[in-house]
Amino acid sequence: MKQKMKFTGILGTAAAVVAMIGILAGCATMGEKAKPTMVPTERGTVLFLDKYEFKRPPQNWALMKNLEGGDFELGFMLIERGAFPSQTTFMYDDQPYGGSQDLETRAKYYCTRFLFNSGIDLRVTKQEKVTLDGKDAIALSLEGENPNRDEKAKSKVYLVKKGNRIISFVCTQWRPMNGTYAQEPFDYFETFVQSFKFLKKDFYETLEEDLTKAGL
Amino acid sequence: MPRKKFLVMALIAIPVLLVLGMGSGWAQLKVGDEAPSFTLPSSQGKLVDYYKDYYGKHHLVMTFFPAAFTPV
Amino acid sequence: MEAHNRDLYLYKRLNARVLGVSMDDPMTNKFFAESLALEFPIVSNVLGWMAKSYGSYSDKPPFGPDGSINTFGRRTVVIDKKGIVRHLKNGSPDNEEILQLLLKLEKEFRGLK
Repeated sequence: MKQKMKFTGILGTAAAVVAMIGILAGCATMGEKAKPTMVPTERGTVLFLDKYEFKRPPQNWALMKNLEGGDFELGFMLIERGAFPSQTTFMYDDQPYGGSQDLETRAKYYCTRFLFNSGIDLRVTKQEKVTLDGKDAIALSLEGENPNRDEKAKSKVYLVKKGNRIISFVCTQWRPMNGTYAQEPFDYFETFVQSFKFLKKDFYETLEEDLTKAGL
Repeated sequence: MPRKKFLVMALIAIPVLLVLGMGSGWAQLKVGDEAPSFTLPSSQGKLVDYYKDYYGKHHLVMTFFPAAFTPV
Repeated sequence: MEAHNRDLYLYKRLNARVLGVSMDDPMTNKFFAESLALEFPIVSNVLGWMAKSYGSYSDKPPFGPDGSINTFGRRTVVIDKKGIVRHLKNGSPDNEEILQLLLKLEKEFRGLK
């Protein structure tokens, strides 16, 4: 685990720089080289650090990797044309807000914390039970405005039951108050989520197996 | 040196060292040390006492955070 | 803090408990715990003496020269059930590290490999 921390630390800092360069390059040249952390397959997907496989968005989206002490595992960001703020970000977050292992309870708590310090007055516009890759999930659609800062946001969140824990996929699109939301970035998010596969057991699954083996 | 003198010096030195050691020892709790005990009021409306509630029963993960409602 | 809450089901299997320590009074801690739906207690160490004995004041004294109280720093301490300190870390906790240590401790106490 100490090794993992060092790995994330060095790469995290490098990735932050790379992500920043990626964003700038994306704006300027509309193209960027594939990062070594993502290896393309012949299935049209990418392998991410041998941990995940998914269909990534187009090259003009910048990869965001977990920064030291960051809030998510991996994500993508698109700076869009238009007045500030015009951007869409989506991510895989393996530790969404809350502590309950029950999807409904977790979803309720999650909505009280999601974007809580952005000043956005968030509403849940849709909530439904879905299945993702055979796992139970709840899909949330949220929207809200902050007229004081001339900002509004639209989000789609999936809370997914993975073993004894709940993980999440989150997409948020920002616009100025008089801006128009775009559907296309959300479509890339849906493709990402629907295609997302876990290539190996995560820390908690392995730990729970160790506990069972030890009779605990 | 003569045995008596050594004993006298040791008798003075040991308490001095202990006091000095304790003074800096508190700020330098190390792995392997005995955990200082405590009895404090809790958010669950009762006193929490280390020896009554945890010693001999459970391992304890203590998380010190300076202020509530700050990012944790 | 939420991370500890999320891991409570694992701590239970590992015979471990969680305790928060803050400088706020019990009522503030109660509201804070409720706001995060925490299922473990938070104790009030208003004068900071406990934090001092646990080394949370490693970089500054508990009281300023004018007698005002300094806040103590974030720290995680793991004590085994025999009262011995087994882990000390400043800053935010590494929950995976804590879980692995607890597994090691519980195996040790049960004489398991």
